[in-house]
Amino acid sequence: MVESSGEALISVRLRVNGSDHEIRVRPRESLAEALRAKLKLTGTHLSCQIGVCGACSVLLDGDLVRGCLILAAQASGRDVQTVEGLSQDDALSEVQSAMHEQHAVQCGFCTPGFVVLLHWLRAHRDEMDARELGEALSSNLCRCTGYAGLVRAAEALLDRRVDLGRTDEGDHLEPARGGIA
Amino acid sequence: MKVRVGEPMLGLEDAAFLKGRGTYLDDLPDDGDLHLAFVRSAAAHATIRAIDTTAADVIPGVIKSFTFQNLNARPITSYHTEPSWQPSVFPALADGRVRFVGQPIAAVLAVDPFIAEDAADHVQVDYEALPSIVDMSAALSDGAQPLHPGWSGNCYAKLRVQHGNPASALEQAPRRLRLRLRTNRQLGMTMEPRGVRAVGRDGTLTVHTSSQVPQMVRAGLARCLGLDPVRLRVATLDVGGGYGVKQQLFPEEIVAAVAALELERPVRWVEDSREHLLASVHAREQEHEIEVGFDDEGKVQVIKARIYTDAGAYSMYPSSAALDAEIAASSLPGPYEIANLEIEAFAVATNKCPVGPYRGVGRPMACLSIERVMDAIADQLGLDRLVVRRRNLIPSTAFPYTSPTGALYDSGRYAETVDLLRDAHAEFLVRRDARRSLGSCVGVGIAVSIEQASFVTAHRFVSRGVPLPFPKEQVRVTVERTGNVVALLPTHSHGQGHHSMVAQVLSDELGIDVEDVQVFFGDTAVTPNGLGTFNSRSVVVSAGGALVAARQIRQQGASVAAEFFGVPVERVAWEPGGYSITDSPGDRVTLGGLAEWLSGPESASRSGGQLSALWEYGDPDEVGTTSNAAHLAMVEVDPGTGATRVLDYVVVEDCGRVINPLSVDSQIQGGVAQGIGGALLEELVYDDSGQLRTATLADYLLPTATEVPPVTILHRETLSPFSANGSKGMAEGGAIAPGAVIVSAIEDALRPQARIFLTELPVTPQRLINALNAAQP
Amino acid sequence: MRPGPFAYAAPDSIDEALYLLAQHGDEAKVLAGGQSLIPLMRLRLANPGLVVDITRVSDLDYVRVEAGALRIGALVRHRKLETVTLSPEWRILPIAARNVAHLPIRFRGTFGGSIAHADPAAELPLVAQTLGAKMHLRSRKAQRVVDCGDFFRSFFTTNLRSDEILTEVALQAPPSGVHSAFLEFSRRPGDFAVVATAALVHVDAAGVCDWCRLGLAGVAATPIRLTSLEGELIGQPFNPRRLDSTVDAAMADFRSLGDVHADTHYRSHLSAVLLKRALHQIAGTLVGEHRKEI
Repeated sequence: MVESSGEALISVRLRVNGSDHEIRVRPRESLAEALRAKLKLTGTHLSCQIGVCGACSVLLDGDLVRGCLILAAQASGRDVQTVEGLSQDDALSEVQSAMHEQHAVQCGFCTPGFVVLLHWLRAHRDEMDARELGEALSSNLCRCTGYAGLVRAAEALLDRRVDLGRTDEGDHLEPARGGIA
Repeated sequence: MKVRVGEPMLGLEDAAFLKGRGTYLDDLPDDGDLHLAFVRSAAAHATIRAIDTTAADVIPGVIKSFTFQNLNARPITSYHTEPSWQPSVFPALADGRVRFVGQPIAAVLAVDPFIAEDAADHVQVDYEALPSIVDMSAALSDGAQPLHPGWSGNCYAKLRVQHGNPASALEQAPRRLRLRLRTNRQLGMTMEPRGVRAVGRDGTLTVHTSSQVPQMVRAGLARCLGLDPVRLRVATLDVGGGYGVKQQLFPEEIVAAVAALELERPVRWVEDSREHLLASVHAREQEHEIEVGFDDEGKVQVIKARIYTDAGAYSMYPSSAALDAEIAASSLPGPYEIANLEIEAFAVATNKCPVGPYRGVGRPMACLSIERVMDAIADQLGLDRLVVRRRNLIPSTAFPYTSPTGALYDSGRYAETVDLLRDAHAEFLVRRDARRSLGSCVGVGIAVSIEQASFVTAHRFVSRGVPLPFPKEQVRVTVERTGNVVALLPTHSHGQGHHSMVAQVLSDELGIDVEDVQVFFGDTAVTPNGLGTFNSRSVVVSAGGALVAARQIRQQGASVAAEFFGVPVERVAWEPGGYSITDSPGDRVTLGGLAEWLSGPESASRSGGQLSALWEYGDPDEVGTTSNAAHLAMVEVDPGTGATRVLDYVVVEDCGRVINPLSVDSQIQGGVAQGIGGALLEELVYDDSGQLRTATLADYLLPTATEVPPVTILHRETLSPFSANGSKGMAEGGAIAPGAVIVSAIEDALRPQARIFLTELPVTPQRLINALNAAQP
Repeated sequence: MRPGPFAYAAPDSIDEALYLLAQHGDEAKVLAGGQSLIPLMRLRLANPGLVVDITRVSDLDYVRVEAGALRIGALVRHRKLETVTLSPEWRILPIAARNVAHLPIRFRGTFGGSIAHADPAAELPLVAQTLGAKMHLRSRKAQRVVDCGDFFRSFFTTNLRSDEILTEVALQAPPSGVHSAFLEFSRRPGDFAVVATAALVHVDAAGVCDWCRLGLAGVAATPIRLTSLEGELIGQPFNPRRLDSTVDAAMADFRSLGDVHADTHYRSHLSAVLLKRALHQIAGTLVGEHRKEI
């Protein structure tokens, strides 16, 4: 452990995938970086590092968040779930099976982030309408698959259509988001 | 599980990725690694008066800093056989002059990445600004200073191809039209950033790098380091996307290697997304000036084109700065029969990031041009856009067909491909009209494209100065005593699923379970004789090679089985997974059983023998395969905001024998997604001073799930006579046609209210509103 | 893309947080949701020496109506605002909140953080500006209330002093029966708005507009209110047939700022388009309500 550069390391307690850890981190170390470097949980990937791509998605106290936009220190005392915690040793989880069966994996780099995203959506599907689910699905980037398999996997998991703004029915498409009240 | 070729098969690679157990470069354990951070040019074009690393060097944890002065490495160079070629010299760290924002100037090595980044901020660079050339017209203007010493003008290469008699054909053509088209700068933008980890010991070096082409990186890196290639191993781990970006030797790899050799400690560098946007490789930026002569039926008689590629500041190894220009030129006629042709193509140096291949390489721009020509002819003659295309397609009887640019197309039934789109096209028109009646602005577009693939061989690179230590690539398939079948591949998989593909081929040919196939690639210690993956080559090279090798193994196995059974070889019968004796079906031996027997003492005559076969690829005159496709899109346009959404999309693909329809379809879907990005969203914008204004993923817009519709995919299978398995490379094709299709559909959507003709990609809302304003009186 | 070094403090109380700010002045930066600040720090565009994480401070996470005003605590997360149940006159808030970035960002981002960050294209500052919000600022020694018009100074620049924390935003209630629309044009869902508009209209029993608030984001250095267009609408029958010409006339000389994503001309055009759409949407709800052609 390096303590140069004049930075005092701070102690952070985390419950990660059901087990308690105490780690020492730089104040500027993100949760994603700490999970990877300190706990060797390398399934949480870093890509854009500014919260756009979702490769670093984790659950923090059950909330779907970007691991790159939370300091490890901010997560102190909280419960974190990563892709490793959403996986079993032998079989694939329901979310993973759906992604596998819908051929929603290519290079695999964005894959853990989508596992976490779909896991959250599966658990909270009744709280959101079809359009919100579609927009939530668009919050992670994949550069390989063109999303079709991911959308099919989501629809299979959620057991309903996800509205991505392309239906033939009803109103003409409104590219401007918003709403009236 | 046994799987036949042509059956859908789920990915064998998926489970590890889904569980977060992939191993990408930055997942390698930190074994006391030193971490590199780069100081990058803030200026587009400048002389460097001085670099002061003192403030960085004194930071605790900093081990060493590197500049051109103390970096013992030769620069990156690439060659081309084109006589007009002017080479650039691209030092891994700038040698007193910088030519693009983001160019590496210095590197700091520290005990952790935080300190390395902090220290890089403390390196002082004293620039003396030089006038920067940020667009091609400035680069080509009279009196423009050459960007590279010893150059005449600012072209890496000027290419020229002529066929027939274009001048007189144009003069005599009943009708003519001119177009000027522009595609803006884009990039592959892999989700896994670039990265390298080098470990040096006693003058030998192991380099793990996130690359598509480890064998070519090894050849180039050995040259830059002055190292005997036998002392250099280059290997990949899981690679998180390539799309052409990771097909280069990069300066960062050289610096990491030098540092590891010098310090004998592991040295790691992992790119961040801003570095990827600034300083990986860009692509696509081209302008085409097209002149066409055609008759009253819409048949094109002659095409003249000038193709300008903004190739950026340096020529990359091994692809060269001329790549986009030469591929755009050679593929310009596309699927159409055109008797007379003249193309001049220019690869222009500017003060921007170097360019490299990106899925499609030149073909998306060529496709845009020729498809715009077809649309413009249809508009001028009042003909249906499909009809004009049908009249110009190369007839099925003409194959193998030599294009006027000299490209040889193996086989195809292009008209039938287009015809397969007819029902979907008719349905789209019905849906379009229904939505129009509700007030929506909906349109339909089509385009036809080809994809010449897998023609690039080791020979081509060697002729262009790439120091490859092998003349041909090799696929080896071996049956092990356990019954496992091991395939060593010369290509590289970074999402394409080569393990699954080859397992399926071997399962089909050898009657074994896909789970019993092991596949290795991407490590020069294991698979030295290969080029890696690009040019949509793997289905021909690796799947084709595995098929041929498996057939050889079956032949070998028959004679071994004859010995094993003690019967004449004529009495040995193949049955899936092994052999039996004709008329005596109880006597059976599996391939694994034979391999075990062969390695043991009982097979006296062949002791130590193996069931193993080698296939080599890379004749100097290799022409590869040419798949073809027809794309159909329905879009909705908001004429108020200028926004376009792709509502539905259909692709008819003919890539010969389909091994795994799931893989082929997801390659098409992924390609179309990138094509939609290029058509509507993605644009690297430089300002007048050469600063990149879109250097984050909040500014460079990738398509998301809401921008990409699920593509309906239909197949034809016109087998290739040239590939071992009848398959044709197809993985770039999805990205080639969307730009052409979508502009055509947008125009159709607006047709009831305005006639516009779009000539620039991406069609941003702002560009569309400008076009609409220009169209209105 | 790692932040520069900084010290980190996570006080439990607002007083402690204010004390730290008083001690460290410009060196310190308040971290709430962090969804804007952390990217800026990663790009090293913000380089604080001390980060004061206020998310452990209790009692700043509330949304309540008091004396006709809606009081929103600084630490209310966007996701909460998006899902909270509010009476009809406040419904523009959840809609605006839903338009903020993507869901994972909304789980962390806070109302106070967004207001204090003052991105000129952001949704919540637009609503605050449009509704004439009062910003409650506290320092160790004082507290003050600043009107939104004074609070938003320029791009990412506010009236907030380095020793102050924005603790609450208070919004005066629109008249009961107000109709509102929030429209945003972004290139993709979750992106920053190219232009966004907030529109609130009240009509009297005779169909005459007697109260109106209109705002735009993405067009100037701060979110702006369109008082002259409001003036054109107030006192007139809210007639859908006249809306387009009224907006076009009022916006004829409007010049948005431009940037790499959209130039002045396009953003100005888009502003008028969105305003017209928002007002037409409101007219549509009025038709539904009054069951007659207005």
